[in-house]
Amino acid sequence: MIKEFFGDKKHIADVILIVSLLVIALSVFLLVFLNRVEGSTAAVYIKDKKVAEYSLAVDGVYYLNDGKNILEIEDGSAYLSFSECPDKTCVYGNTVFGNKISYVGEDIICLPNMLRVVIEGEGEGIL
Amino acid sequence: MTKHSLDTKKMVILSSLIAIAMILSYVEHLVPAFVAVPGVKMGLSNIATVFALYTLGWPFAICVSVVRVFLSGLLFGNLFSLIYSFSGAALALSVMILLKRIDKFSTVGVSVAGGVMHNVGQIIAACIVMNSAAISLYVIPLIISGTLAGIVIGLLSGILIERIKKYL
Repeated sequence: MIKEFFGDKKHIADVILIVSLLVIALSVFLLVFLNRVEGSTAAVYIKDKKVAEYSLAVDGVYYLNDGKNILEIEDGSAYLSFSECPDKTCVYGNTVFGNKISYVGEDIICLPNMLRVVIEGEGEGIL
Repeated sequence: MTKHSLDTKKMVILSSLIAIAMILSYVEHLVPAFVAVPGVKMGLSNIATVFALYTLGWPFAICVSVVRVFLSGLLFGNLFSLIYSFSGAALALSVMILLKRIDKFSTVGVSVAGGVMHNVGQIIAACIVMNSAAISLYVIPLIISGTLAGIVIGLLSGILIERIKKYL
């Protein structure tokens, strides 16, 4: 069956396409992973306006957006512990990097509330 | 095929494909996301698009995809998801039509390219809407998921096209 599959030239082209896409994904991941820099503050933007900035060195709980989102800072990383939106994508984070952010340029976005929390600090992060 | 030869048979097939695409969209909304990355999904309705692309031709594929995006966006989504799906679908369709024309790939290659480009299109739209380049990082999980979903969808559509084409 495998011989039959690769007997078709188009399937060889398919496999080349699939492998190259995966290689691209992997190299982007490595590029990002190897170039990240620890940040110093978590900046909060609402509709592209900076509304607050909290130090990552101090643990704390902050109510944002009239309590629609709650930002917590713990052990040098920031995360949203609550959001009133239905999907809660910003609270769960993603499977690649988790829901906590601490490196320059990393961010958490709550699209329904137009909220963005970004890590800022010295140096240029590629993130 | 000219404008004037849009016969009843093709129209019926087209309508059925749109209906199937809608059902597949709906089924997909019922299945909870198994990965917590927004945008990761099977893209089941792409089966209907690929099928239309290979059996009826590219104008019909565009029709299936655009109508499906608008209707399911209105029924199951909101304005944001409509913008994202539309830009994703536009990019995916262009690339799929192009790859079909080049005729170097099977349905698997075409649908993998479509799946990945759908995600890339959504990310580009999200970057513009959110005015943030950082979202582009999502390309990593989304390229991988788009590729995997594309393989499954491509194999399924390939089998379907091969078996149903002779009855059309």
